[in-house]
Amino acid sequence: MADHSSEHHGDGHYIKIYLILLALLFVSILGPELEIQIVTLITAFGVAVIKANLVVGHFMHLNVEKPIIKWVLGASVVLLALFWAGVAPDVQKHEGYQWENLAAQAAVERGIEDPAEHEEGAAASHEGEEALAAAVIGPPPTHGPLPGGYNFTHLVFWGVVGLVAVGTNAVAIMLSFGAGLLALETIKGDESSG
Amino acid sequence: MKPIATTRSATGIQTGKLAVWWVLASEVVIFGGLLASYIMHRLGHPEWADAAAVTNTTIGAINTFVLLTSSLTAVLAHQAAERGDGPRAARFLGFTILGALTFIGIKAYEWSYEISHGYTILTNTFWSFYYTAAGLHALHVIAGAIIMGFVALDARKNIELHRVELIGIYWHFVDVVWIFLFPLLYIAK
Amino acid sequence: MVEPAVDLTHHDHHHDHHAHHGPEGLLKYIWSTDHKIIAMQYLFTGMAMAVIGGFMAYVFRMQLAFPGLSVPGYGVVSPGEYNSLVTNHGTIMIFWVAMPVLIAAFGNFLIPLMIGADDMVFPRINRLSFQVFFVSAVLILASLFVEGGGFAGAWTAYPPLSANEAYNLTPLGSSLWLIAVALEFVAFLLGGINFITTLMNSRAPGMRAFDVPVVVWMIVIASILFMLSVGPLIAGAVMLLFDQTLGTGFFDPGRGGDPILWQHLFWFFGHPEVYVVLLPAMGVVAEIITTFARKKLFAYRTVIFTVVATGVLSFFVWAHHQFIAGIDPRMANLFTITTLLISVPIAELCFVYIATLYGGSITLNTPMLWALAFIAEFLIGGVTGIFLGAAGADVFFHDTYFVLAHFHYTFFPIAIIGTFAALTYWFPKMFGKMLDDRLGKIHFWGTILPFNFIFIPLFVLGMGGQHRRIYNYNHFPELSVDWMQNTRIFATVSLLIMLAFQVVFFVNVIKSWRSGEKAPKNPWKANSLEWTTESPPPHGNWPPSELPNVYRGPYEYSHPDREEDYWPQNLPA
Repeated sequence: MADHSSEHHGDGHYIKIYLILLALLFVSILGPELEIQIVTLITAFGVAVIKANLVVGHFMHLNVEKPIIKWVLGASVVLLALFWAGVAPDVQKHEGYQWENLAAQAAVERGIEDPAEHEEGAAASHEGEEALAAAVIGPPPTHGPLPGGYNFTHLVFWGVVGLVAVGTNAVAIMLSFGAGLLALETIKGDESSG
Repeated sequence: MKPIATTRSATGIQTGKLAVWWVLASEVVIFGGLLASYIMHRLGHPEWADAAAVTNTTIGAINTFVLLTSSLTAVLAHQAAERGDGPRAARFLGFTILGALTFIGIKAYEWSYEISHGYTILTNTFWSFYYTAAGLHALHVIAGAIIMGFVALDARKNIELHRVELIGIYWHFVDVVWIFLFPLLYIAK
Repeated sequence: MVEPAVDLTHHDHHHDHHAHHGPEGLLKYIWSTDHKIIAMQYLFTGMAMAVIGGFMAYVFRMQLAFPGLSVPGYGVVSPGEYNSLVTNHGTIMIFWVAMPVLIAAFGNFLIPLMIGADDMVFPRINRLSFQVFFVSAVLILASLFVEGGGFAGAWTAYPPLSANEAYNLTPLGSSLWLIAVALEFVAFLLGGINFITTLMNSRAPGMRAFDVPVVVWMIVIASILFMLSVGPLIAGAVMLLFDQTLGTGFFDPGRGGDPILWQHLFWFFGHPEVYVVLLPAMGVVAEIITTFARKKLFAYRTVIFTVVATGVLSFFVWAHHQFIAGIDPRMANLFTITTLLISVPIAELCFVYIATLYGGSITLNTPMLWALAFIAEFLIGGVTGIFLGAAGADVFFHDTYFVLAHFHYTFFPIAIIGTFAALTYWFPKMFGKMLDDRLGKIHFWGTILPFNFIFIPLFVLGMGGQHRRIYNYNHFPELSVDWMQNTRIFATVSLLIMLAFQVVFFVNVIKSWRSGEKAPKNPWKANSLEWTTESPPPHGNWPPSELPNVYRGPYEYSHPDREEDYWPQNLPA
């Protein structure tokens, strides 16, 4: 049952890819030496993405595999991005529309703990919980930074509510209608032959 | 005696390979969930840079080299299996397992060093993520090496050669996870 | 019970020697890789856990109706025990009843049969998945008996309550609970891979994608949803376990962690999870109504596309569980819109079912009654979800009994009505005997009517402000007024009546098993492939040379070219 699509590549092909991977590894290590943050990030993560593509495409043979596999993997990556997009506004940021995460802001202020000062960690944690309990909700702002603004969002919202209201009422009507018809059929069915 | 169901293939993709790719899809969201949580915290807590500075980039790079090499031997094992050369495939799988053991050994050395200098999983949340993410990855390395051992034993006798490709695909995935862990935990401080 | 032959692979060979002398029957059933046996294992485990979950409901409802009094068969319920009962009732019902019965049991039994295969593609992984599942069931039950008692932080397990033993007072119970849930996830990941790969690759010759019965599609799509959504929660469970046992601070805000992260990790899975259990139940209903209305499924392809769309959309709604948790209100806006949107495809599915019934030649036997009840009761659950999906209304409703009544109006149809529908429909195929239809109808009415009398009052109580997870409302003057307490008693009495009627079901099963009419191959004159083999099917499902070929779809009922009103898939044109 072996998949023969990869057979036309000799061992040499894979050794070539391997050498490219090593070269990329080298680049990613040298990047930070320049001490420019943006360069470090590009070399580190850009190289990671390229390396991953090479391994997945050539070593795992995804570039000659049937498309359905790419769709499956694509779906998991997209869902991961969705997860990040939905959670980051709450977890990555420490303030937002009418809220602040005082405990996290305090942790950033304090700086990271030294292992020698571990006892402080316990005290800080207690402080953090009190701070959390005292989280402040500010006064409503005059302009809402919503996607498209208040009016657009309200339009969409009420539009959907309207659709659903009509839809669910239609359900009730159709159900009653259907139930009535069912009852009629069953009664009629008893009279004629099954 | 395998059921006939196992031998059918309406999609044209061999059943075992299809299953491994589905496993990998779920693993992407498992590791992805963990790493996304880490990234969100890291971006929100710039002060973690001080903690992250301690990780040893050189050792991380050496481990990356070890895993990349083991990926090469894994794909060469697959090539041998495609040609029907079971013993050669088993030999290259053996090199891959050696790579896995080297990786674990280097990691054990690295972690003992860090723990003895007071950087445990409880030190602060950066280190909690560090040990959890790298630890979960290491568990997958060990599990993969064990399964690879069984596949290699069979391959040596020219039995079930298609499994060489399957364990290879899993192994490359473990390599890809490390390809992302390396910059996250070692370079982008 | 007819004994199917067992597949003893070469790995199991050494057991064969024991099997010659010892309890041969028992060992056969424990070590089998046959998908039908594994289905039975899941079914019986699930139903046993249902009895336990139901008992927990009985105890805490008695406590609410008659606070402080000793509950017969249990004793006095302390506040901690109350919390543990509601926590484990929810956890057990979702993970150890709904999922194993609807997905693992019926999925395992039906999928190979309905696609014309002799077993799943990975029978040994199938067996392993049950073994892991069984261990998880043992662990969750064990967690109830360790020192400190079972975990009591609600099935949602929010930190810091769940992470910090100083708060939850159940150090052993919390960790056992978490490990049990994690193992259950692993079992269903293993099982899911089997279902997906089997459907994708092992269909009978001639069976195109749209010739597959809807219930098989539903179970496989549910497995895909599960596999893609559970990942972040597994990561979160590892982090929570470390917080509990090692003292890390993943969810501790003072140490750079964030408890809201857990909520997101949990609900990113938690919302798709409800569709994971809904889809198989809807699939079961589709099979039953087509068979007993003698009519093809209305818009079959549209149904499949709608279900896929629902699955995709289900990933975009999760934070509607967190509207008042302190998430960014702009996100709450987005999630309100997506939540309201997702009601549309589900409502469309209900329209499709009604359209399928219209004009059909309807037989109102027990499985059909269950299927119709599903549609009606689930509609009530779905409609009340709209109120909760609107963030503004949810500010009032969140954490009240309105929520609880809403999700019981969805979960009960899924887990109980769906299960009884499937059981009464496929019982002849699974066990080779016919159930008594009269007893079935008594059981049906004795379940459905009290069910409504339990939960409609709870909507009213919720609107009156009754919060969830309170063990004794006497502590709240506004909530212990007469009409509210009387309503609680009324609901509890209805529960007692409903539980009593379940005895009728067991009597029916035992009566059928011992002296029931032997079931023919196709008692309902249905089209799909499982009805072409013996009842129950032998090992391998069909004789090896007689695996079916498929010539048409599964819903060719009342076809004008045919004399009979059904047209099995495997008959050549």
